[in-house]
Amino acid sequence: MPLEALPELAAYRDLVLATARALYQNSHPERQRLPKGFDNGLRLVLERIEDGSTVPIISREPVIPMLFPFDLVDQFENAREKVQELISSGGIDSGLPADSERQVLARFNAFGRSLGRDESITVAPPGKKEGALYNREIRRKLILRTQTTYEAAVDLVGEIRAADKDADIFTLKTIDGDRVPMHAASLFLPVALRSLENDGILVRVRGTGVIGVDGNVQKIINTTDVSLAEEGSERVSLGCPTAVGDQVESLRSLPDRWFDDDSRQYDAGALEWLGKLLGAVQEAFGFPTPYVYPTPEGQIRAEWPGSGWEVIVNVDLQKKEATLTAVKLGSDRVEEDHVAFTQAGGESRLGKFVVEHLQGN
Amino acid sequence: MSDDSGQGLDDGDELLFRQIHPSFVRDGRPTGQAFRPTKKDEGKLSVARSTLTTAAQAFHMHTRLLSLPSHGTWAVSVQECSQHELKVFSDPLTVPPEKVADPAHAFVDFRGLSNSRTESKATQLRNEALVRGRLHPIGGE
Repeated sequence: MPLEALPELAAYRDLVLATARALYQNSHPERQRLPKGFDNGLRLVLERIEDGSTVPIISREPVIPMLFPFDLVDQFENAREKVQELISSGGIDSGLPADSERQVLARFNAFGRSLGRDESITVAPPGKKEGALYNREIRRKLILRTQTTYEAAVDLVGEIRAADKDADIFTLKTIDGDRVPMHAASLFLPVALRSLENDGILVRVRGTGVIGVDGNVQKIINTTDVSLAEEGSERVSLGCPTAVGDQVESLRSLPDRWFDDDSRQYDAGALEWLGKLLGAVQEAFGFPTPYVYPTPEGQIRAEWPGSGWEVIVNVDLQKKEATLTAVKLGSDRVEEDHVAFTQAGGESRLGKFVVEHLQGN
Repeated sequence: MSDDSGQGLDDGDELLFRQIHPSFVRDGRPTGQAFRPTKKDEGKLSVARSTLTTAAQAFHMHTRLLSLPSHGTWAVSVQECSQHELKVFSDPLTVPPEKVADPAHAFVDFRGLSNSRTESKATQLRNEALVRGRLHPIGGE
């Protein structure tokens, strides 16, 4: 288990404990206080790390029934189940009174703060691997049900544009053009001043940010690192973990009628052409790997996710043409273009369209 | 699917289950086209209502009773459709003309939208569903 993930263990315990308290108070309205030693009934331990895997298994340590009332032991399992339900449903219809629901959902702010883009936590019944998948997006959704901002690990690249040395406050202008106030210890002052005094020197800032409903970082409340950015940092974005060539190749196995009576097997030569095209454009423009899908109409669809813009390219393999669509998330704004790869410059127009919109994220 | 629109749904918390073809999921991520009607759907995106069925029952109906492939049950809520200015109508299916009755059937109304608007709304619905994750079967890809 990575050391930085250890706080997640404590945060998960706090979440289950808060849920158990809410459930207990809900089922015992006559009681003004919780039973003595209530919190001691929940202890979590790192059970093992599975062979050949980096997945740590966290379990509840059994309590001694003689020292702890049996019905309270059940209460913690009920709370774990409730947490699993909340994650599965996205927080809809928790079955808890409104005040309790707010208290429980607020605890998700501490749990999962360090989750990376491709990381998740599975909350499952004892002894089982299948359960509710908890990732950054689900966490965001749960917290935003009761509040307008949430806290999460941030990793931003930009230039320092202002500094208040007395208050340890800096202003980071990100490569997306946003200005983000950040609280950083004087330890980071030399790197910050270097960026402040020299145009074009990018720094990478990591820490805990406050993020709004729109997904924008409003401020960084705890800066854990300020360092000079690595080359190519300005191109960091989301992408498919499977190489584009392998994705296109996998579509060869789709038979006739794979979707409905009209859908046909793809031509192997056409797929080879597309794999080379997408691979070459990706290499030339340095954009992330798209997600590649078949379409019932016999086209190939490539999608590039983003936090601001999402880009979709539908390629007609017969005509060697593509429709390019960029969708501005959270709005009705759509931008479109059409390219013919049989004409000079078609590949460049595709690359430019993708990069321009992903850089707007 | 019936020709006439049924009653509009207005319970924002109601989930709308959508079955997604296995080829429409790549590395756990469904394509946006899974949340837009195909040409044959005539602007009506078929879904199943959570007040009348469950994610598991909807999956069973699709794969066992209708013998259609599905990667699993995903969902958006009525409220999320409403946020993207999409109306939802109940559309219970009966025998005949259908082979299998489905009282939980409903549709998200994409009728009259341009291709680009349809693409935009479908992409954003997919992102809502992605946040919620696959509801059945739970776990794995």
